Amino acid sequence: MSKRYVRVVNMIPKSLSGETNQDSEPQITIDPEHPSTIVGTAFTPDPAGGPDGPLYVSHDNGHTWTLDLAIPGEAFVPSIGQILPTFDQSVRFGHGSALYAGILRTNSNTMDILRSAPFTSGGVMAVVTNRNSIDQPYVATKHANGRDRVFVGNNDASSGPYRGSVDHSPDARTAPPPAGFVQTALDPRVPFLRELPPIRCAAHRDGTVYAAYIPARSFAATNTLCDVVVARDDNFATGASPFIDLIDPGDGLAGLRVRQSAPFPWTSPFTYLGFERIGSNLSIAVEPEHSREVYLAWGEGPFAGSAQTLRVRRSNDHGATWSGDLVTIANAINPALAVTEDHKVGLLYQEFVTVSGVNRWRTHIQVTHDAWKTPAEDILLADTPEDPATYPLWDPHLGDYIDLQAHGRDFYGIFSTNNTPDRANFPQGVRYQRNADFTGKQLYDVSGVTPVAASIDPFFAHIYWRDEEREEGLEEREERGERLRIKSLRYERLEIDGLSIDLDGDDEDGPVALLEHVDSGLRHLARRLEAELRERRKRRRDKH
Amino acid sequence: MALPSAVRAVVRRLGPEAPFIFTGHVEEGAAPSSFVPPSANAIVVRVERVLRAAPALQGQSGQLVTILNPAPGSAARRQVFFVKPAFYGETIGVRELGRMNVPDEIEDLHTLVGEVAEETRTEALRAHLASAEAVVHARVVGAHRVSETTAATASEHDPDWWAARLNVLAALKGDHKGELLVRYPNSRDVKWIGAPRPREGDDAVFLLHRDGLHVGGAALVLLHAIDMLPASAQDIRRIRGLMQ
Repeated sequence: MSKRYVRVVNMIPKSLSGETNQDSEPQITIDPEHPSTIVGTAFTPDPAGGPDGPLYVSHDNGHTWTLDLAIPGEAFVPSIGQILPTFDQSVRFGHGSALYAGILRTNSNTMDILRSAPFTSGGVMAVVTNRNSIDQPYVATKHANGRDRVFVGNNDASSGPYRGSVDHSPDARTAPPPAGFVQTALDPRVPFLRELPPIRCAAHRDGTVYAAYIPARSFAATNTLCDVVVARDDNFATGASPFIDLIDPGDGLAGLRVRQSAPFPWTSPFTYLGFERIGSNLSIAVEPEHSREVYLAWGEGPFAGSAQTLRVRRSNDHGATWSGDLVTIANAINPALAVTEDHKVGLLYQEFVTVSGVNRWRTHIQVTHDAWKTPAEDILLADTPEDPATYPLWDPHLGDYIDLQAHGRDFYGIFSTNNTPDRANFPQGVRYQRNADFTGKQLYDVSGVTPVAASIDPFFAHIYWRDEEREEGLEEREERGERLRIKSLRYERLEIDGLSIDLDGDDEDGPVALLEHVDSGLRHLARRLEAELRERRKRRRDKH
Repeated sequence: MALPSAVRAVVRRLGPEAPFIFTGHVEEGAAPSSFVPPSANAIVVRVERVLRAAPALQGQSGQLVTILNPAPGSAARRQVFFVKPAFYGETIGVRELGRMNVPDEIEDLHTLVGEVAEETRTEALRAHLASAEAVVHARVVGAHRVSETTAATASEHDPDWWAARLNVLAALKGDHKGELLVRYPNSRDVKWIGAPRPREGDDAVFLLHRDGLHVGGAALVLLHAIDMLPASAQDIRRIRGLMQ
């Protein structure tokens, strides 16, 4: 029997305890061969004002994070007022720890596709190709047949209205620039008006690649009527005419219209839900074992009582037919879908509510084992107030998207929200690296003395399942008061008073290593834990 | 006592390139940040006094900093370090641009570092003034949306162009007189952070450039924070001086 665990971590490192940036619109990727290495992005500048942007990097399964200045930017002149050398950023790992990124660069106004193969800390990612007049690059990768297949969904306005496109490479890891990237436009229908910003791809190891997009069909005064379309390619987009393998029976054209002429809150000027501009949310995920099974989520509206409603649908036949709504969520944004290897589907999203007159953003993950045939497990990760003080200058406040990825049986999520250190805001618990006083609900700078205002931070969430028999006891023990509180003892990690160490299954030396780094009181406690851990392992071995 | 000329020369050479300048001492035997590979050439320095730093790094006094690929330094353990941050974790990692011994005149050094930083900003302003087509002291008499963007053409990064009508009080560069229409991005999108948004009644010095667009009758544009500056008599004298 497996038990579910949730770990939420504020990703701002301790050395940046004084920062108050609006670190919104995050994304995350897990190195599939070294899953303890995780990389994230957000609208975060180099705090020192340098030209290069940071990646959030963790080498310990998301327990601690470091900002590594790896995204190339432009020369920075502080007095000019430019803050972010890059804005949109999307990252995905490939094989051999290769990291790919699609970014929008401020000064050159280009979409740059970046590569670091393998990704190593301390270097700036290399540009392999770029393109003008692009919006919202979004990367998907799949390693198959010895090659990294890379797909960068983007919205291309270089030759007129924004057109949903995919820049794709059949073998991106080692080829010299442009690394085999070519562009394919998706929408064959006329009259063509435009696509909304998100173009999302999901690739399967058998060669199936889905691409989802939202073509506008007409423009009304208060909203826009759009389709939601899924295109498919059956051989990693390597043929002469990619993404034409799924034909809509209604008009005989490539790309199946899952939804037709639905209202979308895509307006000019923008429609807002709280402080969030809305109108263009989209996510797609393919089941890792069976490429025929694919999930799609988007946001549409307005409807009575809901500025934007999220819908999730599923296809069991490679996109040829689609279910009705598996789930709908009113007044919500940023759907992010992922499917684990044991067939769990996760839906991460952010819901706007008003409680006692206070606007709040609730970040949920719904986890279903049966495609919502029965009610999904709804895990509330964060429930934070919408504070005008955290929205001083610019959009997006929390982001036009957040991200959820699956690796093995686990979900890895990232979202941005108000960073006020208040336990009540994080029902699953939370760990801050930056200096935070949860009693006084106050942030402090690195000195621990100077108060710091609340702002928007990225948060990492690991949702995982482990065998219950490996979970016996040991939680919330206390010795000598708060200082020696044992936060948890999980089969993979021991955490004591902010210190943590990988136990890594049956590694007998883990706690011993911890002993070398703690004071005498903790050492005494760690020795006791070590003895108990050895006994647990012995019982487990005997049992087997 | 004045700072030695050699010290001043080092500050003037390294200061403009170093966003983080501090005095500190090498912590012999201290372990570098765990983010640094064990094989890396790195030393650990404890920051004593921050001489220059971005706001988010102002509280680094007393903190440890890992210096990657440290320059061969003098034997003195307490020095002034000129660095660029490379990563931010439990502690900060930096790349060294140079270092020097801590002079006796530490307060004068702090002052000089500040002066050099200010000179760097002034040079950026001077270059921006030089590239401007026009510089005017003007009062904003109105502003209106000129963007032709619709839901059919908008992106999330659309500038949402507006035009401000300026009543030119004095042309500091160029020969504009009377009323002048200038464009600015009114968008709240992240792409346009820092752009000025003039409002009716504002009295300011405007640095006007062309960006190749002509929207709503406005070809001159305000894009950068320093395209709209205070207009006191002292400010105007300074701007005139920078353009000479």
